[in-house]
This record gives sequence, C-alpha cells and structure tokens, in this order.
Amino acid sequence: MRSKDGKRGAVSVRTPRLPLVLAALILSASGQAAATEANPSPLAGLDAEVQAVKQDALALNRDLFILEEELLFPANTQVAVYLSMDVGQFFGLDGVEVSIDGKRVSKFLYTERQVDALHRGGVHRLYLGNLKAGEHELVGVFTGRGPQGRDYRRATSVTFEKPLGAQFVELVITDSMARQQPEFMVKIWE
Amino acid sequence: MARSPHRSLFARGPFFGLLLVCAWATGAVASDKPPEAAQDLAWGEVLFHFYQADHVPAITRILVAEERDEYAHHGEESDLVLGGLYLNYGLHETAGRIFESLLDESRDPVTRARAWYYLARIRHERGYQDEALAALARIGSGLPERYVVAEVDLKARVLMALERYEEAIVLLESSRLPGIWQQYAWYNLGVALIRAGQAKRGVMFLDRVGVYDGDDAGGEEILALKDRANLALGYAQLAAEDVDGARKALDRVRLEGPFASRALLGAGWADTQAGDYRAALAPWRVLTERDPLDAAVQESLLALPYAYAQLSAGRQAVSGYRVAIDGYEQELVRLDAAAVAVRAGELTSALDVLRDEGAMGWASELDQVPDSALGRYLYPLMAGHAFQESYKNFRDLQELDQRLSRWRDSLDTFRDMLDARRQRLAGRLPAARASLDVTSLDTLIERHERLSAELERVRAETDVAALATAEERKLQARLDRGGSLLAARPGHPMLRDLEDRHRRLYGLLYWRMHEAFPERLREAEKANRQTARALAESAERRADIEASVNAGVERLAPLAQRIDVADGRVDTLRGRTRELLAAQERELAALALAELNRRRGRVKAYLGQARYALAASYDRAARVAPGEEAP
Repeated sequence: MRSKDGKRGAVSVRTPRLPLVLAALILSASGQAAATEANPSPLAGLDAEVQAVKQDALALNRDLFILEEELLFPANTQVAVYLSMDVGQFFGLDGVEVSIDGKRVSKFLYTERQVDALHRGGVHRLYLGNLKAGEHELVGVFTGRGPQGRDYRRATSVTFEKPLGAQFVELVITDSMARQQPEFMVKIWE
Repeated sequence: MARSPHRSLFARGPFFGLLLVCAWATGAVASDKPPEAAQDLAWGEVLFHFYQADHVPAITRILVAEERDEYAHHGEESDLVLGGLYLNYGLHETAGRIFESLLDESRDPVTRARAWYYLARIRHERGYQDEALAALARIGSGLPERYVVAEVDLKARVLMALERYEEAIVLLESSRLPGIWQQYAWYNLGVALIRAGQAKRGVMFLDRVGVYDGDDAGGEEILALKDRANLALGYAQLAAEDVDGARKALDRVRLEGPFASRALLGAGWADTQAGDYRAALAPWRVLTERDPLDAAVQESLLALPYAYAQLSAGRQAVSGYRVAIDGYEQELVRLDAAAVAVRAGELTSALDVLRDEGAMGWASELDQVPDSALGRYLYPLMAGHAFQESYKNFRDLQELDQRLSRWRDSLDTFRDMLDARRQRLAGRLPAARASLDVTSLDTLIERHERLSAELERVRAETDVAALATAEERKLQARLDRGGSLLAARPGHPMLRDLEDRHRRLYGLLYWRMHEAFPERLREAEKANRQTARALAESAERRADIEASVNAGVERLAPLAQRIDVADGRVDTLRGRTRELLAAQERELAALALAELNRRRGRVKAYLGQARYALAASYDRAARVAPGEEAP
C-alpha cells in the first residue's frame, strides 16, 4: 500500500510495513518456514551431545530393564500374564483381576487410552511374578460393559503345568460373532 | 540446532498441520483398520506403549526384545517403528542409520518404500533438500495408502524449500486427498502459485479454502485454516491493489481467532488504500485495545493517528501519537524487565509451569501463563522453532535426570536384595549340600548297574537258579548237601534208592525253576526297569538341587557385578546430563534474549517513528493559519 498524498510520517509508517507483513505471513502460513529455516550444517555441538546422552541413556535403560527382571523374576520361576483384545466390539473393558492358586496377584483398571492401544494390537503385561514348577490354577475376572452397555463381569480359568523355565499366559478377549457376545480365552505360550 | 519433524510441524501450524502430526506420531504402524494381532508377545508390548505415545518405554521394550532375541515375526516392522521413535526422540542420526540398514537388508518393497520415506523426512528436516528429493524419488509405488497425505506433504515441502514451485504446483494440483487434507493442499497450492508469480491462480485457491463450507467446516482446525487462508488472501489482494477483494477476505477472518489482529490491521490498510481513512479508523481503534504484545497491535498504534492526520484531525493525531509513544515506552520497560528475568535464570522455571502440555497445548494454556515479567512472552517465545527445539531438549534432559535418579534408588534396592539373598543362601547351603551327600545315590546307581548286568547274564545263560525262590534255594541247598553225602559213598548198594530219589527230586526242582524262569525273568526285568526310572528321577532331582544351589551361588556374583557396572554408568550419565541441562538452559536464555532484543528493536523503531510523526504534527500545527484547527 502506498500513501496517496505522500505526506511525511504516513509514508514512513506504511511503506515498509506491508511487504514485510505479507512476506512473513505467506512464508509462515505455508508451513515452509521450518524447512527453509533448517540448518543445513551438521549437528550443532550441544544437540549432538544431547543425542549422545539420550542414546547412552536408552542403552542403560535396556540393560537395567533386563537386570531388574533377571534379579526379581529369574527365568526358572518367572510367570507373566498378558492381556490382549481381538476386535472386542461386544465388550467395553474396564478392568481385569488375576488370581493364581486362589491368591489375587493383579488388579488393573484400564484408561481409555490403554483400551485403545489394546484395540489396535497392543498387548499389556498384567502381571510378572514367580511361581514354582508344577500345577497351578489361574483365574481372570473381566469387568466392563457388555453388548447392551450393561455392566458385565465374566471369569475364565485355566490350570497349567508350569515347567522349569519361564511361563507366559495370555488372556484374550475376543468376539463371538455367532453368539454376539464377547469371549474370554486363555492361551498358554509354550 | 537439530530439528525434529514433529516439532517443526507444531511450530509452524498449517501445512498439513496438526492432522499430520497425529498420523506421524503413530506413523510407522498407524492404519485406518486395526493391525493384525501381534504374533510375538514382546511386539504386542511394544505396541501397547507405542499407541499410548509412551515413546521411551516403547524404545526400551524394542531394545530389550532385540537383545533377548524375542521376535519370531515382527523384526522389520520393529525396525521401522524404532526408527520413527528415535526420530521423535530427536535421535536423527541413529534413526537414519536404521532406515539405511533396512534398505540394505530388506527385500520387501513396502518396507523399502517406508524406509525411503522416513529417510527423505530426516534429510528434509536436516536441511538436505536435494537428498530428500532423491529419497522421495526412490519410494516408488510401494508406500501403503495411509502414507499418501504424508508423502504429498513432504514432497511439496521439499520442492518449496528448493524453490521449485512449478513442480510443487503440479504435485498439489494433481493430488486428491481425503477430507480436510484437501483443503490444506489447496491452501498450500495457493501459496506456491503466489510464490511462483501466478498470483491470480493462487488467489483462486486461497479463496476456495477461505469460503469452504463442507460438512466439517465447523471444526476448530478447519476454521483456523480458513482464517489463515483469508488472511493470506487479503494481503495478497492488497499487494495486487484489489481493495475490495482484500476487504472481503479479511472481513471473513473471525474476530476471536488467532489471526484477528493481523486481519484488522490489513482491513484498515485496505480502507486507506481506497482512500477511505475514516473507515480505517474502525478496525484500527478495535486493534489498539488489544494486547500490545502483538506486532499488529503495535503497528496499529501508529496507523491510527496516521489516519487521523490524513483526515486533518490534528488533535486526535497528536493524541494518538502520544498514546503510541506511551505504549511503546511501556512495552520497552516490560521487555527490559523480561530480559532481566531471563538473565536471572527465571526462564526455565516459568516454562516449567506450562510443561507436560506439549507445543499443541500451549494456546489453551495461555490463561494459565504466570503473572510475571516473563509470563506474557512465553507463548511468543515458544512459537519460535529453534526455541521449541531447545526447550524440548531441555525437557528431555530433565526427564532423563529424573529417570536416572529413580534408577539410582532402584540400584541401591537391588544391591540390598542381593545381599539379603546372599545371606539366605549362605544359611541354606550347608544343609542342602549335606542332604545331597547322605542320599548315597551314587552307590545305588552302581548297585543297579551291577544288577542289570547280572540280569543280562542270567538271561543269556538261562541261569534258572539265579531266579529261584527262597524255598527253592532252601530245597536246593538241602539237595546239594544230600548230594555231597551221596557223593562221599559212590555206588554204595544201600544208597542206590536214595541216589535215584535225589536225582528225581533234583530234576523236579530244576524243572519247576525252569518252568517259572520266563515269568520270573520278566518280573525281574520289569522291577529293574522301575528301579532304573526311580533312580533316574532321583538323579534328576539331585541335579536340580545341585543346579539350584550352584545357580544361586553363581548367579549372585555376576548380578552384583552388573549392578556395580550399572551404578557407574548411572553416575556418569547423571553428570553428563546435568552439565548438558545447564548448557541447554544457557542456550534457551540466549534464544529468549535474542527474541526479546528483536522485539525491542522493532518497538524502538516504532517509537522513533511515533516521535518523529508527533514532532511533524506539532510542526504542522505551528504553521496552521489562524481559525484552522490546531492540535
């Protein structure tokens, strides 16, 4: 924009403004600025150091994760219980309770985000503990909302022979299309 | 300063903007339909973290799975996800290496296409646009459908960074994208056309977005995009001296939206361009009442008295310039106070108040901005890409420092546990070893082996006497004794009958034993097998006990050693992390001061202009003829 009369003050205010504003506007509006702003030089020193520390921290995290498990849950006594969902449209999960040999070992209430993660293929490790080799009974109690949105509570159980090595048990919530009902199954991983 | 792909999108608003952020956040495995069930529990666990955007636990779980070789199925998928997670965590170099290695190793066209896509993304964000374009060209047709938007977005951005607008235009014109993303594409097409000097066509596409009224037109995101399009359109029309078009577009920008101030400023300029200074007063008056932090508001403080001056309202012009001068001076004082606060180290604590919301949450958190010298500048600071990157690093380091503190506590606990276990084991060990000694299992095993050999011999030699019953043995002993007596008097006539009877009885006994031999042998062998089994079980149990005792002893030493090593690593990392935190804080302060300084320069320039204009107004007033209005 230009001043029509060219008076002092007005020109000094206006003339430089519009092109600047417009240029800035269009650049930023395009989302392009991030790219044009990007520094083509190699990693800046500080950022490179931060990356190195993060990398080392992740490696340490991994090693400590393994160390913790080996220390607290040795392979010969380890038992892990998982929960997964296959579709699950007939059941809105609220929580799961797990008992082993009559003793409750885990009770977990799920957030919406966690349920969503399960729906999308995630598997939740509900419980990690120690058990002696031999026969054990596991009971899973599922609470939530059933097909008509009503409160729903179902239990499933399995007796398994724990070997000398680690034992993994997966509780699976699935849909029975024929019965239009949820189904709760237990899979013993060999 | 390194850049993360997400953060630049957060910082820069619409390209394909926020929607893409979501798609990218779950990028590597996101899909419209649920993925196939995890075939490995470890992979399922990774997904459980990943879909909750718990990125560090997801990375850790992948690294653990790789270390323990827990994948039977999802190896390549896992590599892709890990690369994406590293990118998200700011580890571009590592992510790049993963994708390059996938390209070396994988023959799956989909995996390769995805790896090329991510490599292109990294190169683009690092500023290597030619290399990014080369990577994009290698994607081919293998990229899954759900990546279409991201691919178009990336390619358009790369082309525009290279100022190859014509190619960007061709790409965006030929793209048909789902839902709101088509609006983003048209918006960016409009911008590309204007940059390429095809303003007329560019304006057409911006207008298309600006008046969009599809089913989803009521959503906040599309409303913001429409505002942005109308704003860009308005200024483009102003540049083309199409005052009516500019006014129309700028009037469509919502007054309560984030672009309102710039729209009001532009609307005033449009009026002045049409020579209607009185009309310009309305938007500029509204603008001067707004937050003086805003550059458009600061400009309006000058523009308003300028309009008065054009309307020969000298008094109002002078008054306006005084208000402007006052406003600029106050803003300079505030900027100085903010700079002092930054130098005093208050920046990161002020930013921490807003933490955990992420860049997208900032706008909604503005009401909670702390009432301090710095508070009002936090949002504009965070809008800067470099600042955002730096703060993200700072937060990552803070989080890391906390995690290291937790690990330090855990390691102490581990050590205590190990000590307790060692003591417990030391108490049990003698008893366990003693119980193993007294079982004499080895002697039993030796006896069994001898017995087995004897049975073999009995079978081979059909030694029926060896399996005789106790009674038969007694009988045989008596017969043997009788036989000895008879043998002492061979052929004695008085003993001939006895000899015959002895022979018959002996024959009878042998016949009985021979008859019973197969059954007895079977029974003996069966019993022998049972003994063998029992002994094997006992041996196994003993081996278990031995292994358990030995493992208990043996396991403790390396575990203790690993705890010590980890302890050292935690300490070293904590030291490095804290040094980097301090350095990162200094960098943040430097960036903040640079931004405050830039603002200071702008306000000072406005202040200079306002003072000059005020002096000019006084000068004019001094020369006005008697009877005319004086300021």
